Amino acid sequence: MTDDLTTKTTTTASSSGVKVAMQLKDVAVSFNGRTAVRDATFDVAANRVTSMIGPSGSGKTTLLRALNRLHDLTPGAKVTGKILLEGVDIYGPDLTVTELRTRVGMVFQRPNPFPTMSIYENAVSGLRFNGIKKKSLLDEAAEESLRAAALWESVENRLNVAASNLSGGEQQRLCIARALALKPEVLLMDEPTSALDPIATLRIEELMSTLKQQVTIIIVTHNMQQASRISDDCAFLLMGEDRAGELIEFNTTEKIFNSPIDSRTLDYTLGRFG
Amino acid sequence: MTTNTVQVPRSRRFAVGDSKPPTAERSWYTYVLAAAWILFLGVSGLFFWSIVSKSLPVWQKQAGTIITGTGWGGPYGGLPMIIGTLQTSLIALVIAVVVGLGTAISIVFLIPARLRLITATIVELLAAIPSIVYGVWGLLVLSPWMLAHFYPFLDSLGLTFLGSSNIATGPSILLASIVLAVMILPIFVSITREVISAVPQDLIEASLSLGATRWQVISKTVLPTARIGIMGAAFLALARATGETVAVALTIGTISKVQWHFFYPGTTIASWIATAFGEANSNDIQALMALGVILMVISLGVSLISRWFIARQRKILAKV
Repeated sequence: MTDDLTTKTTTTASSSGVKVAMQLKDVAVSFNGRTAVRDATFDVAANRVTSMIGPSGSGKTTLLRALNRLHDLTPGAKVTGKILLEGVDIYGPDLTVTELRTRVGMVFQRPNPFPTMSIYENAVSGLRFNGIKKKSLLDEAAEESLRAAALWESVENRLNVAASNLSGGEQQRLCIARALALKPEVLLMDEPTSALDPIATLRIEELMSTLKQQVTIIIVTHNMQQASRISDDCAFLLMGEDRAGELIEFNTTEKIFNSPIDSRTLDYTLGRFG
Repeated sequence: MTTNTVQVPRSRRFAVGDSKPPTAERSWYTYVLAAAWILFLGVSGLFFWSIVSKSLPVWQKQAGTIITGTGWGGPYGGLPMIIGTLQTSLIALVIAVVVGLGTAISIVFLIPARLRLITATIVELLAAIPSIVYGVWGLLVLSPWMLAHFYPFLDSLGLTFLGSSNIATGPSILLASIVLAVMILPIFVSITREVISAVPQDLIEASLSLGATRWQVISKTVLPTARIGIMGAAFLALARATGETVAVALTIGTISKVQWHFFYPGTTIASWIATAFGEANSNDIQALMALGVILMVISLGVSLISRWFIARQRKILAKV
């Protein structure tokens, strides 16, 4: 294990003077004693897009879901190591799980707006969960977050129709707006475009590059072109011999794709496997 | 083997909508199935026709009275039975929905996985208990307990419109309703449990990711998403309650009177038919058959509403 760690090539963004949003220190996730992903150590730089790439089974989604404690729901799931949000242990006593989740938002693979709610209600649902009732605050947040998700112009006149009337791409942007309404510091995106057509995908990608000015983005993607297009930093994960995923290399996206240190990273980014 | 001579692509052999097999494949089982289908249509047709035709004289002579009349014997009045059926099943439904919703939510979200299966099984086993057992239980166990404790308790709350606990004798609308509630609980719980389990996990995760507490996930996401299906479960339970006979006959007292004081006896359509049949003359039988038709219409209507709700819930979930 320690041998592994020493050979691992990870750089920390903090060394280059960038503010760090989240830190992962030797993070591992196991289900009923079986390790799904391990050895994840890297810093997520603030106001950048960090991508996690790797073939299926490499544990990228599992790792992502550890960052807002979604594994808490799964009986038998165990997260070890340290995950820090601005220096505070997210599994520690100084941060409640609900507060963590308002600070670390999430967008899922499939667009999943609440089917019984209108566009407006979806946009403000997070605020309502957190007890905000004042109409003026909600209206303001709805407009602001829908604008931030590049959706305001097209829904401004039909805020009260059911969210299911939107197209897939619009639904996903509504989900982004819903997460942004809480003004999170970090936005986790789990293959957010895998259910969308190329044009909708492009719009989400454009959106991410503007969004990173206000929120740190961590995105899981199985699409290498996407990772190279949109991310600033990149973590490459791979399934080990015991079928547990592990972090192989973390660096700037430019280095991962052009001059990786590990030969497996090179093989994967060149499309030799996966 | 005739099938060997016809080359049907494997994928097409069981294709839905491909209802006409090539002649060579049409063999004895086609005729058996057709015969079964015709038999089924014939039996159901005859069934409905015989019930309606037996009651036809009543519909011709006194169609209004059988629905709105209150006496039994001269002209036949079914109002006490119709009102009683609605009273008992609606009270039962209210009780079953309150208790059942809590039970279903606990089974799906609150109790540990090991207890979950046991609880769910116990609830479903309740459905397998014959209704005569519920009736006897209501009469011998619940009724004395209610006389001794429950009626006086309600009295002490000042609910005088229910009647007086001093006059109550045991069999009553309330007793029958509570027995019914226990009887329809399993069907309501098991369908509600399925409906709320079918709420997609990613909606639950989306709520949690927005900082929702577990209770908010249930009240703001799961129940609203499942509400149409829960309505369907309620109407299915209601349909079961309207038709229940023997347990009600044992606990309601069966007197032909529109009863608004729930501590006192009344009757329902099903229990009235069951108890009155033994001594019925031919005119009585026609009137009882007419009541049967009314009950069938009520149950059918309630079942159809339930199906409509459940179909709509499927559509909602398909869109998610």
